[in-house]
Amino acid sequence: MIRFVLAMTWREARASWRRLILFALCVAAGVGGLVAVQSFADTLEAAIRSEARTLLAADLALESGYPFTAGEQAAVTALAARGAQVVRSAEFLSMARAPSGQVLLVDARSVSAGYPLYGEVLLDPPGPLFRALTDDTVVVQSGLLYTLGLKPGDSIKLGRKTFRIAAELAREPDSPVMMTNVAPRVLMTEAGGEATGLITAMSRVRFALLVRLPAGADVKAEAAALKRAVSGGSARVVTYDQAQPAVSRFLSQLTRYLNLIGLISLLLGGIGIAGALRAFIAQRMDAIAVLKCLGATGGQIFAMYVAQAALLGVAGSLAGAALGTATQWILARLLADLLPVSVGFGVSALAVGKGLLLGTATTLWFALPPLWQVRGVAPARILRRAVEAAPPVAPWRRAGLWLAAAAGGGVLMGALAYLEVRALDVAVIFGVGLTATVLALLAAAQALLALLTRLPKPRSFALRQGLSGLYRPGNQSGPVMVALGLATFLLLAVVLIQKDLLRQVTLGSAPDQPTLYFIDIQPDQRDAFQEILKAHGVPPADILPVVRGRVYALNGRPVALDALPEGERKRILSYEFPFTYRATLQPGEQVLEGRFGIDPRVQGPQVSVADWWMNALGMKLGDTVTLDIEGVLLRATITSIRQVDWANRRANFSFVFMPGALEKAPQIFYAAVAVPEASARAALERALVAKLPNVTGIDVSVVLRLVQQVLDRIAVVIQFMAVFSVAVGLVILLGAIATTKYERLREAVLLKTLGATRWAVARVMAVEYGVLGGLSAAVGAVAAGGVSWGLVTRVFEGRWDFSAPVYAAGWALATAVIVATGLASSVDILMKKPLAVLREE
Amino acid sequence: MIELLHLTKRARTGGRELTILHPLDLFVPRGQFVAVMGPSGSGKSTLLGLLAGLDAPSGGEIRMNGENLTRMNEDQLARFRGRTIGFVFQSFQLIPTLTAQENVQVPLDIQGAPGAARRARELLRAVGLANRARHYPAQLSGGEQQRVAVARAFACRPPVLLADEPTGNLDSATGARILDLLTALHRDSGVTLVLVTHDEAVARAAQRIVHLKDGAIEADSAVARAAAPRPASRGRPARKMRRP
Repeated sequence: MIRFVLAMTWREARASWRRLILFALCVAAGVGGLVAVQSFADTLEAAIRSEARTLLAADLALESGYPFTAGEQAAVTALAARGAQVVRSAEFLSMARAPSGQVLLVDARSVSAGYPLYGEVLLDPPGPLFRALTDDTVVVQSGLLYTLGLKPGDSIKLGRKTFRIAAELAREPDSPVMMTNVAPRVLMTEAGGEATGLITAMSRVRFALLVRLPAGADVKAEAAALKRAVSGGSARVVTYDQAQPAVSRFLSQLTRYLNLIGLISLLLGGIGIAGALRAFIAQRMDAIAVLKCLGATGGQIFAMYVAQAALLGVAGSLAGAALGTATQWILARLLADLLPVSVGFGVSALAVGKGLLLGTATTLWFALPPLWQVRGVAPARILRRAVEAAPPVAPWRRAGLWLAAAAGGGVLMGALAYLEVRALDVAVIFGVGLTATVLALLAAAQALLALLTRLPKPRSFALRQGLSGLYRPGNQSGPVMVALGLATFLLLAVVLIQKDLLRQVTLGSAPDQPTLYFIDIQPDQRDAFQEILKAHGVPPADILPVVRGRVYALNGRPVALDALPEGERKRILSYEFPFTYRATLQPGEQVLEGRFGIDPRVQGPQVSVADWWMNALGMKLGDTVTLDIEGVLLRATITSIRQVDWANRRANFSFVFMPGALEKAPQIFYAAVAVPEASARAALERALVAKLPNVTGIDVSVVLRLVQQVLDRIAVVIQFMAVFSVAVGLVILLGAIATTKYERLREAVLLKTLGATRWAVARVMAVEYGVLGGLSAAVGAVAAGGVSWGLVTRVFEGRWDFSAPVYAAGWALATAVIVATGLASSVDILMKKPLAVLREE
Repeated sequence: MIELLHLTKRARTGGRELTILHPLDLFVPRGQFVAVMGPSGSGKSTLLGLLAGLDAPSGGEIRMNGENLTRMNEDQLARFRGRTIGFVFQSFQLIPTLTAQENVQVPLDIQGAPGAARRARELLRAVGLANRARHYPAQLSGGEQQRVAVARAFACRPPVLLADEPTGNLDSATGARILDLLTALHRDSGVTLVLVTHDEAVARAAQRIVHLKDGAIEADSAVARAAAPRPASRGRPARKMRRP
């Protein structure tokens, strides 16, 4: 039995290998995206791991938003006493001022001698860092030189201190990713940093003690010991394997969600397989009946085709794994700006294994329904005069089968999505949403095809003939439309959503919306600050106090972050939140529960909290939250819950304390002003830096540029993934054309015999592919519009608008690609000489 | 031997019930060559389909080699066919994706018989196609295809051979050669052969002719022979195919 199955599988596969290759390509394109993402993620992880110490430039580090306490310093000094090397570092945003008066936001950093402990600093002109760096010089990234029109040797002023630029900073091992584009780095000595006067307890500085342990030391144990020694304070111990955690988390989230798009391609591949096998089996019915006549059981024949499908799945998955491995560098290239390390080419066993498993499983899953019917093929069909036709399947039963198949596909996709993102809600939404989308596309496809048959027959020969082609036996108009529609949908939806979101963040032109933020205003500079605003014709700004801290306990129960499972709750609880205090609500805020203001019945500090935080953590009015502010614990009662309009670009806070609780906490002052014109903004910044050099101005447009860059990258990467779906769609189209090749050939030859020119036959074909492509693309465009509308208006609460050119361009492009692919694969049909075909019959 | 008891077949077409076979009794002893004749729509093919277990009767029983086909399910019928029945069809019904030899080999492979390839080559040699073993059906003439089909029908040494218009798609000379081949194989192997045809000349090669009309037996007569069965005149004589 097994021998028979294997022998027949081999013989059948040998005979129809061309067709099987097309099927396998379906799987390959479906698997390729997943393997590309996984390979990229694995290669990236390996790169980060192998360069981990360089990324932190240390084995471990103690980091804090405040100057280190004596106890914290002592704990690190103790390590140094045992042979560890220690380097001090302080980072702060500041305004650099060129001799011309022009100013630029920079990311300044002072380091003590010995930096970097791992990796190296590259300068241009080359040389050791501490030969270039004296207490009167800095090295700067090229962005600063370029923007301010400076060159090494020129001078630049930070705070109170004027430095000479010694060299260009080409590489800094532990530089923050992406910051280069917003605020270029300025590197200086510790004494240089002190001389700026910008490193004070009242400004926003990130302090770090970088530690290189003696060879052979146990980093984990030392980190744990250090953690115990400094516990209770605001300092955080970071080990090299946790370097750049925000970037790592962002990238791992991104790759997980990219995998979801990969799953869509895989699903399309599955749908393609199901459709192609159905057509394939339909052409095999006679052979199956013969085998039954010769004594093969339904089970044997079923097993034979399942073995073929498995072979197909494995072969396709292998090809997909190769495709994905080969194309992963494109992802690395597209995301290069966001990556902390350079990522090369790597073969990931995990990615290949995963591709093989998913590809084969999906193929079999989608192959089973069409193959199941071979068991029921009546051998009697072989007797040409057998009267009885198979009883037609009742419509409700057919609908039931469809729904069952769709539900099965949805469950499979949901399960795979869960394995990727480990979030049940996302998996359920993905599975259900995808199934609903496919069913909707299928329903739309069927409805449009049905509608076409109802329309009066067109007079034009090419139109009439081309339309009839959509219904020829073995046609796959339904699956082709679903796949091409979904591919169009993916590509277009990404463009639309990106466009709407970008417009949202760039639409800062409303006159009262802040365009400049000033941080680190000292309490005694408030009046001077308002004076300068007044001199520039800007209305007085609210100067807000900001205190930073973490959640320490909820209702008195300490939050054990280490013990929490990964997820939203852990993410929110690990944030460092900015708090403020004031007595009144500001525009855009609305109290949902409780009363904003001091409640005399409540003892101790009182806080008003944003609704999203309350909902995310399941808190309610009257609960208490204990905050850790630079090591000081503050337990406050939640006396009101606010809804905040985050889109208004004011200084919005999740936590607003009632006056009396935070006034003595370490705080910085912050102001937001609205200056629409860029030139006026620059003038104001210049004036402020000249008079209040410690105040840092951040231009919203700079931040928007960063947001835009990230969005652009993500959009391009998503489109890269969507290309795999497009490939699957086109392969399905090619498969459908190949499946009906014989009918097409006969038709074309017949037309030619009856006097049609090749041009006329080509027109007939163009009509067929054009209608198929046009309908698919239209269905995809409508779906993309719907989804972008839903996302933009419901999730991002923005304004959605219909821009006809984008839809028209997307639709036309998709249709053109489909028609071109169809015609290209039919060239041989056009070129065949009629007689040769007629003779073959 | 084949025994049909009160066999009936009705079918529903176009909303009304049609009786294709009226209650029909027939006994075919082991080794007999019976031709079933009748005009189109007389129920010949239906009868053959029922004999092969390709279709279920509406009533009555079919016994073949002591087994009751009417009591078997689909898979039991398939295995029974594999063991007991060989087939030759009007349109050959070779599997287009398999070579001639592989086509002959299929029933042997299904049974899991050892030495299937050797036996298939032997059979092809017996029908005079040893040099065409690696050709695909599309590369063979109609007559050659039907000879492959005959070889396939005999592959498992079935005790019963059913032939449905085996010469219907062939020109008369080629048809005659196929008929000679079947006759010779019948004589040499002792198989029970039921052949459906509407060609009087073909039917006369049989030992007995059953005439069907409107789903009932109209006549059932032995074929008079002047001398011994017609010799395999034209074409190569079939080699001996012994039954096990």
